[in-house]
Formats: sequence, C-alpha cells, structure tokens
Amino acid sequence: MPETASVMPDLSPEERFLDALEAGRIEMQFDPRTGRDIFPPRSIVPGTGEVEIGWRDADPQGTIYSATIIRDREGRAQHMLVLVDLAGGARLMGQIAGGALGAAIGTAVRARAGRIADQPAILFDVAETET
Amino acid sequence: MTVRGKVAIVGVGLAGLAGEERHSAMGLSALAATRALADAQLSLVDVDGLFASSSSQNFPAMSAAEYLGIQPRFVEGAMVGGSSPQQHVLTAALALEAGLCDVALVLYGSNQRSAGRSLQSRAEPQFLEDINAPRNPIGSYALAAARHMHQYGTTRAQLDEVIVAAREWAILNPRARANRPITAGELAAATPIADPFTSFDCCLVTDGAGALVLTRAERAADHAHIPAYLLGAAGTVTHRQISQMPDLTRTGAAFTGPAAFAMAGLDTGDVDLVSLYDAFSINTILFLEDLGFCPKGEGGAFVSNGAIAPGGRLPVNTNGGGLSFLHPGMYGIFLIIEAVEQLRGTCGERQVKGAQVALAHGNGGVLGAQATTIFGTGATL
Repeated sequence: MPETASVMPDLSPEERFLDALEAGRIEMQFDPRTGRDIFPPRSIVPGTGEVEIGWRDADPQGTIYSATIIRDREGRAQHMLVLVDLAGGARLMGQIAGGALGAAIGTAVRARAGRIADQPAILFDVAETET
Repeated sequence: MTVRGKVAIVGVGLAGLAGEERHSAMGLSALAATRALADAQLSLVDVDGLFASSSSQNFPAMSAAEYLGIQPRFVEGAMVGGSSPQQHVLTAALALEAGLCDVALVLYGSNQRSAGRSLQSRAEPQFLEDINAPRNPIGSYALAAARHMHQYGTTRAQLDEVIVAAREWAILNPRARANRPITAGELAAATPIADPFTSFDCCLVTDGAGALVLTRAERAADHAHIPAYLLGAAGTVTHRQISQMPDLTRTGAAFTGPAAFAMAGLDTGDVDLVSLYDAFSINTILFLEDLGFCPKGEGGAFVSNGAIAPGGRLPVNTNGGGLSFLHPGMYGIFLIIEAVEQLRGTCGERQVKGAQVALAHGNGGVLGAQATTIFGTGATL
C-alpha cells in the first residue's frame, strides 16, 4: 500500500528518494488527489501547494519521449540520453543501459535503479517485446 | 495601464567584439554602458535605474553598480537566463512610467571565450540530472530538436536552412565573428555532437557586452537617434530543467508572443524584422511557430528555400544571430540592439529597408524562460 508522508519527515524528500535509489528501489512521490507521480521530489504538490504527498514504488513501465546520442569531440558515441514518460506520469532523464544506442522515440522501456560512475542513477532497459 | 509607447530605447552600446577581448565580464559591460550613454548623449551621472544580468556573477546588479560607481534609486537583477534583458526592458518601462527612475541602463557582458569557459553558464545542479552526462545545454536542446523532428517531420535540411540563413546575414555584418560562407559539403561532413546536432547547430562561444539606455517617451526625441519605442512586452517561465518542460515542441513563447502583440495592438504581419534567440538551430523554428509566424509544426517548411535569409520573405536574425554573430554566455541583449539599429536605419548592407516594427525574442535556460519585446519607430505610435 502506498503511504502518505507526514508533514515533518525524518529525511528531506530528496534524501529519501536518493536513499531508496541507493538501496535499489525507485520510490516515487505522488499526489494522492490525482494519483500522478511527482518528480523531482519536493515538499509540496506542485501547482496546488498541498503538503500531503504520497510515496510508492514507481511503475517502471515507460516510453521514450525524446532521445539523443551524446558524443565526444571526434563524434564517437558516448551514451544515449533519453527522456522517458513513466506510466505513473513522471518524465525522467536517464541513460539507456548497457551502451545501447538504437532506441527510438516511442520505444517501450523499463526503469530500474542502477549506477552511473558509481553514483546511484535511474537506468532504462529497452522492454522485451512479446513474441 | 499599458506601457505601449511610454518608453523608448535612446542609446545602445557594444563591447568585447573581435580585437577587444582583454577585459573582464564587468569591464566589458562598463565599456558597453558608457558607449550606450554616449550614444544617447548622456553620461553615467544621469543613470538612476540599473538593470543587470550575468552568466558568471551571482550579484550582477551589485557588481555593476560598484564598478560603474553609481548608486541607482531603482535596481533590478532578475535572472532568467538569456531572456533577462527582455524582462529588464519590461521592468524598466514600469519603473520609468512610475517615476521610480528617469534614465534606465540595461547591461550584460561576458568574457566567456577569453576566460576559456564552455557553453555552460553558471547554474545550480538539477536533481539527478548531471549524473546522466547530458552535456548541457547542448543535450537538452538536442532532445527538443529530436522530438520536433519526430513529431512534425522537421528535417536535417530544414535545420541547415536556419544555419545558412544566419551565416548569410552575418556575412553582411562587419561585426560578426563567423562571416565565411558555409558550404553544403561542410554541413554534410560536420562532426555530430548530440544527435541531431553538429557544431553548426550550436551558437558561438565569444566575448561580448551590450547596453541599452531607456527614457520616457516624452524626452526620447531629445536624443541623437531615432527612438525605438517599446510597443509590447511579455515574459514567462515554464521550467528549469528539460525533463520538466511540459511539451518539448512548444515553448513559453506561445504565451509571450500573443501577449506582446496584444499590448502592441499588432500582429505578425506588421513586423518588418524578427530577432530570435538562436542558441541552437531548432530555436528559430520553435519561436517562429510559437510567436505565430506559422502554425505549430510548420516552422521547418517556413524557413525553407531561403525564406529567412537575405532577400527572403521574412528577415530573421539580421545580425547573424547567436549562430554566426556572437554569443557571449547569454545573447538576449544583442537581439534588442539589432532591433534598435534596424529601426534607426543604420545597419548598412544588412539594413531592412523601411523597417518600422521589430520583434526581439529572448530565451533562457534550456527553453525554460521566454520573453518577447516589440519595438517601433515614432510612426507606429
């Protein structure tokens, strides 16, 4: 069951998100009134100012909204940078995991907690299509 | 109350162009300020309203006041990236009209190139953004371009039209940094940076400073040059980081354009020339659409066949723009200076004949701040 945050949490919303990510979970804030994800984490519901905010495990299903390949000075591909619309409503920036470069806008992906340069990060895997 | 026609730009100044790089950001700003004041037949002692922005300083208005040696009675340092000068012009109009100041000085300067800094301006880190190595601002704008191409079929060739048009205007501007023709072969062979962008899609990294002097309209005609009256202005903010932009194909200019035109009592057909903040090639297409010069999604077709180049149907970025004139960290003030000089009729080879109405649209952050200003000659009042 999703929980609803108290007004005076032990951790700031940003700290709680990063602690969960470090532990391997994407824990997402949401607006209990609309059920929509809130990202980046914050102290109020954006647009309404309500302070009652829920936390839940993010629905990892998403779709690539936009994508670019970041390159070095010689034009060599470094990684695929994407914006992903999650099923819960959040739009996240991230990298496609494993150095894959072929994912196009509209491709289904799954979000997971991972690491980039040994820092906690959100990674996206291209979702396996049903056969 | 409307500010339409109530204030005018009566002085403009530039500094830090090629051959004048050996100054700090504040040093260049001060040179531009004194030139703008001389242009208006005024001096520093006349300035009582100060409006400053910076891409390298946390307290630009305080630094500017100290460096210039003035104590303004109205001060403004709103920081909305490259749209700050457009916002400052709107605020200056309100302050002048309210009698809170009589001579407003708007300035901006950067020694970005000499200081060896990258395209990135001073910025606070965004939550879980840097970890993804987005190579901001290039990556964020590339994401916007990729989405526009996906959603509307905008093509590489249409982005190239924007690049070539800016360069053709720059060739007519003796101050422009990049003034050598671009060949189709160079465009095709360019090294990709962040798909779909190559270096040609990205603005220059230069030094540069600009300044504006504004007074109330009733005394504007006392100065040496044709006044550029402020006819309309509006600004807004939609997001700070690109992941939070509601729609990557639609900017806040979709609000600021119509709002500024409504204040001016004009529409797009009345505009003789357009200065758009072209930090990247996609900007020109986005802003032409959002400001209403063509329907959403048709910006690529609009710029095709040389339509915004010299001799085309709409003069756009007649100074060469951020792509080919200069881009010292933030470019907003130079859009306004070009509008003023075109309305004065002093632009030489690149002059738009008979220009009476000029639009200057600023952009800040990664498309997150937008501000539109519309200026006209006395004939438009």
